[in-house]
Amino acid sequence: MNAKAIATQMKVTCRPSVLSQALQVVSRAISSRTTLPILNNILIETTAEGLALTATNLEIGIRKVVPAEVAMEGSTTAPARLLTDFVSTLPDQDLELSLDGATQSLGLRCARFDTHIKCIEAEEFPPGPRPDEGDRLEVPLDELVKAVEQTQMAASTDEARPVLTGVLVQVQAGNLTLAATDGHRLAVRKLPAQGAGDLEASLIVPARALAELARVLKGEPGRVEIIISKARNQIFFKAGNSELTSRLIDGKYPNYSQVIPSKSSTTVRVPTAELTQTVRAVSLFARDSANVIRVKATSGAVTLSATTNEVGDSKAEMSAEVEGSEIQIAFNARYVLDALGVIGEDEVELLFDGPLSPGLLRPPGKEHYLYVIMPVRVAMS
Amino acid sequence: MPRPEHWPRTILHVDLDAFYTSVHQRDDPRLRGLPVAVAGRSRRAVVMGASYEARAFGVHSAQPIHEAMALCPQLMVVNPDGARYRDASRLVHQIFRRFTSPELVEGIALDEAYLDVTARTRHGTTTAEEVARRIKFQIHTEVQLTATVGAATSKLVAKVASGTRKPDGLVLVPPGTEADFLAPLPIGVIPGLGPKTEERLHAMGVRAVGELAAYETQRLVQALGVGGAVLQRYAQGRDRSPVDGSKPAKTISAETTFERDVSDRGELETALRDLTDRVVDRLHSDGVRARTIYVKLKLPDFRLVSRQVSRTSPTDDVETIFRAARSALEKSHVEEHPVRLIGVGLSGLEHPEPDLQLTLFD
Repeated sequence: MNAKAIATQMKVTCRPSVLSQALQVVSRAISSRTTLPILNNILIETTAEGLALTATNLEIGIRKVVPAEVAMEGSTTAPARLLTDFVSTLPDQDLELSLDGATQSLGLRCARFDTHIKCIEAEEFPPGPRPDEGDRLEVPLDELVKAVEQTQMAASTDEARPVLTGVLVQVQAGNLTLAATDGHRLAVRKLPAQGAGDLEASLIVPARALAELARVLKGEPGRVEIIISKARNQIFFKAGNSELTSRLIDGKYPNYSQVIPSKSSTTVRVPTAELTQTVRAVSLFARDSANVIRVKATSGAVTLSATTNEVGDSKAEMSAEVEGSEIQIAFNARYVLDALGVIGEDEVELLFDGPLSPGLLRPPGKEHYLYVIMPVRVAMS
Repeated sequence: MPRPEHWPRTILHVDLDAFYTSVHQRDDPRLRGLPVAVAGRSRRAVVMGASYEARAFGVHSAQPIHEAMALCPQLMVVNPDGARYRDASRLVHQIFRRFTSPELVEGIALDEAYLDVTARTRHGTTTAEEVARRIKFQIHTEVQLTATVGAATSKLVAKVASGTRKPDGLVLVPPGTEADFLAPLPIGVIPGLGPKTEERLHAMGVRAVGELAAYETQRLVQALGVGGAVLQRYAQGRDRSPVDGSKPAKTISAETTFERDVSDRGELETALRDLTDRVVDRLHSDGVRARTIYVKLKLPDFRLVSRQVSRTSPTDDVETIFRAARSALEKSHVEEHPVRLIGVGLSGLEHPEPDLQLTLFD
């Protein structure tokens, strides 16, 4: 038996700057509190493309492949925090990683450093689902990232209602629709998909997972491949050398289309930037918990106001195109700001249908995005 | 008739007299007039509360029970009864709410609260003294307990005032007389002035509050840090802190230790249901709602595991809270360890918002 051949496994060379970036992204999948210690580690494997890094908390998984020169194939799992912190401090010169298979000691040689990190066998790492089978479709990367940004913030953080902590992802008639709601506001964004064919699917993806998507896919080219597992319990987002996997949330998503207002008695059109700045300023005087800002639309003007007894009050009037009847309505300022921050248009249209009915916020004349907010019932003066 | 003086704020400090033992003496006539102490059963127990009869023997709170027995061999020791104390406290708080709004009642402990009753006295139709008397009277007739009330223009002075004439006292410190009232008292009466600081001040020759009030500020700061300046402002009777009842109790919790370690999920959920009922009862009686629900588990090796579920809007619904508690249990109990103790707690407590955020789905 050749003891030496068994003792050394895996030898690769890569650049610390590239590895460090990838480690930081992959580490996002690691939970701060895990009951399974191996999940504090990152799986490191040699592949044909280079070095693959994988981390998971069993809910989401992130995998990135970094270019590396592979001299000897192999795999192990290294403590994420230590490895990430250490590699981030290295000078950007060739880094040689070599694993002693018998002791699972990972040697890192770079410039003046000679370091060894104790690792755990790759076999200990829970096998992640692989996107080999299942339904596939493709969407433009930048549009998907924007769509996630425009919806994900409306999802609930209230774990007593798990389905609302997810974003509903619907595939229908060649379109992809993302919808999220916490019961107080609702965001819906449509985008065209390719290769979906006559596929129909309705999945609830944890908002926490989607929140990582932009970071994981950053720097990858063009398009994202979305793969839905056959068992309909996993979703994969894949672009270039990066991959995000998430388990899906079980349950029935509320029928959101029925709460989208179909009529309105007041339509207001204002510049997005001016409205954003005004809401932000006035809402400093919105009482801390309900965060209430009052909106009054009259002919040619919108007045925003907020009061907190111990703090003071603020009022601002801005000129606006107002059609229909006058209205006074109150909202949680945060919900308004969340939408204004992601709408990405110069102008925004607000539609109201009375002080106790949902308000609608959308880019004027466009159908791809809408945002519904339930008002706050206040004693109007 | 002289015009009543103008009170910029009317703050009451209401302190129930020898609360724990008074509750027992009220409910058990055999204990009346006797030295009574509340303490646990264990030999290592300490006195939680002592009746005035027991205090005459030198018995006091936090004293080891064997010491108390040595001072007063005829001491009647009774077991604590949390539910009964909470019940009495709840009734007293109901009385408070007749005199001011809930967010202006700040409970410090079961037997102690600040009330801001400025709105009552502002228009001269009633006085601080009248309000204090009526609160004392209603507590006495409806809950059969006595209370001492301090009335002043600040929390600080009201609290010091009630401390000067217990039990069954009523001490009024009219506006403008705060510093004079405090001056002759020993510095130890100032809340937040602990034994160490007291010792240091004594060494500097400062014994009475008036001396602290008049001391050179710079030297005080040198000796005690910035806290010295704060204490001096208190000594001068200056305290602007508001009565804040909007953050009521910090948490409400209940727990149970199993006779034997339990790993059966069904059994844990039954216990969870029972504990949830208990904490939600208290939530309702306090008239508040909770944002965060947590579950605490103690494993056989005494390791504590705790997980919480937070909601975006506060709730007082028992089913919602139970569901949240169950999902917190799921998060904390993934490995099916046996469990020695299980507890449920509610935090992020707040009074219901007068403004109501409407919802999209019912």
